Amino acid sequence: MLAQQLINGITLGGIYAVVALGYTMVFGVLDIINMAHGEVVMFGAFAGMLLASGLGAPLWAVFAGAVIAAGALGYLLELLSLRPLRRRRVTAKLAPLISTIGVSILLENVALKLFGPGNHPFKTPLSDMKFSLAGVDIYLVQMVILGISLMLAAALYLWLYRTKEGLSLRAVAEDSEIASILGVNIDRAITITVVTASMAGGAAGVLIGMAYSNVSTQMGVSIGLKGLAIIIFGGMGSVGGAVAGGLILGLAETLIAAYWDSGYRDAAAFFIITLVLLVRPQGLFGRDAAAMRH
Amino acid sequence: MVELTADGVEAGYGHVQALRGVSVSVSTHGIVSVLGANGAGKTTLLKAIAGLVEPSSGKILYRGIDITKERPDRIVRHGIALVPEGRGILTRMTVLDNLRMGAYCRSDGNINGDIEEMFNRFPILRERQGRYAGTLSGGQRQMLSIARALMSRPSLLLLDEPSMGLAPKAASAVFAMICEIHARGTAVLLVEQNAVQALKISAYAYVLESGAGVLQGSAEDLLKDRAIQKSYL
Ligand SMILES: Nc1ncnc2c1ncn2[C@@H]1O[C@H](COP(=O)(O)OP(=O)(O)O)[C@@H](O)[C@H]1O
Ligand SMILES: [Mg+2]
Repeated sequence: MLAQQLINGITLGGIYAVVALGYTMVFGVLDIINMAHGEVVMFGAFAGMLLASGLGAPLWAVFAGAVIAAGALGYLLELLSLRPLRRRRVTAKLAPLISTIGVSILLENVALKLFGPGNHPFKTPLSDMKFSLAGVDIYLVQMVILGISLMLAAALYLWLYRTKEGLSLRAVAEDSEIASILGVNIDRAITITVVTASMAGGAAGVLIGMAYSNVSTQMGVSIGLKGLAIIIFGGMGSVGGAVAGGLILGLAETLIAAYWDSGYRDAAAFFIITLVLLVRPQGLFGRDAAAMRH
Repeated sequence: MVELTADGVEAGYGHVQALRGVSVSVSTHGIVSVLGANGAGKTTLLKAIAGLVEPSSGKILYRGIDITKERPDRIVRHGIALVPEGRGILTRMTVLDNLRMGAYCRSDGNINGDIEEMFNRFPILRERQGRYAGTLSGGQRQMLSIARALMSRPSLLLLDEPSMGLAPKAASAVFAMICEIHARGTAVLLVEQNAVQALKISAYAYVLESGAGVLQGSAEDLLKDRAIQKSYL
């Protein structure tokens, strides 16, 4: 029934929103798409899986472990694959993009070596708890996923728009040279951005594990593609666009699978991209080209 | 008192050498101008002082401290603020956020008081404080860019062609503002193509050509100089 599908769709959308937030933050500040973000999410999911299924750790510890592992990975990504390119004053945007593609391939293969192929069960104490409300089954996990997604999106928004640090990151996003003469240490700002985006990715990994009850080393690829699709039609670099785009895609996929044909589920993202870009080339929440020229 | 000395500064972009040994000195006594045609190296000189371009040789001393190889975010904390060519305002931020960014390098408790002072000096900015800076006119943007630089409480202000693209009236207002800032005790290094106006408010001036200093002297002398009159006035 519809209410059930809407709840499933919004839950999935919340996860997509958190994944897309990671892409949009890095794109906003560095003007590059971090192609390794999907694999960072995957590593967060595996860190969470080891803690949850392996050690039976409580949920807060599962999140903490995943966030720390993904944040550390983000730090290494910036230090080893992005910063050296800036040092050599490589100005082509293609170079860091390719660099992150390299990292994503590396991470996927390292994960395969470490954890092995196939699905790994992701068990949490909440896994089977559910309640019924007006005939709709709601899993506790869905409530947790939705709550945490919204909290993360709100926290990121407040950080970017209500704090001095967020102010400086937005300045770097618009013009890093100007930000630097106003006193912003650009390397530090970029590190903070990539690490924070990766930490959000780690949390997203746990949410995905909880939603599907298992994780695999290949999950980064499909989740990465969806995150990319969302920031393209939501508007590159926009927080609101990532959240709205995530929810739209989650709902669309769920409704298409339920009422049409589950085979078309993964095509939803591309239907939406085509549709949105035909009407608004800058994406739903993107700045229009005229405003950007100033 | 001498605030800044640049001595034999060479700098460039890849294979382009934009400065071939430029020396200037700025003190608190009187505004100092750097004049020269398009492409002479004026902007590069200010960028080298602000830390945006690293000199390949030469020395830049600020109050006796060697800042030649310092990062821009460190240089502004020494007390040097740059009003960049083309204003450099952050168009996707509000006017108020631009001013807050100007105080990013500060951690004292007087920032709101200084914002209030900027609003008093530039009333149009108070009116537009909640608007995106991208909606301001050219003259308003220049005022915002200067106000933002002042928010760092600089002791040396670098201005890169502040009158560029402004109507005569707005340009005059900018030059008057620069005089006022200098009168309050801030050293000023002014880069201009508008040589007459710049010399009128300056005490001393340098002329650059193809990345090298070709002439220098008191503004009074340069205003009378034949060579200068022919090529710039
Ligand atoms: N980003 C850059 N890359 C390469 N060359 C540059 C760059 N900026 C300036 N130049 C060159 O350096 C020289 C000096 O430029 P500039 O300092 O901007 O002069 P001015 O400010 O006096 O017009 C010019 O020949 C210019 O073409
Ligand atoms: Mg210039």
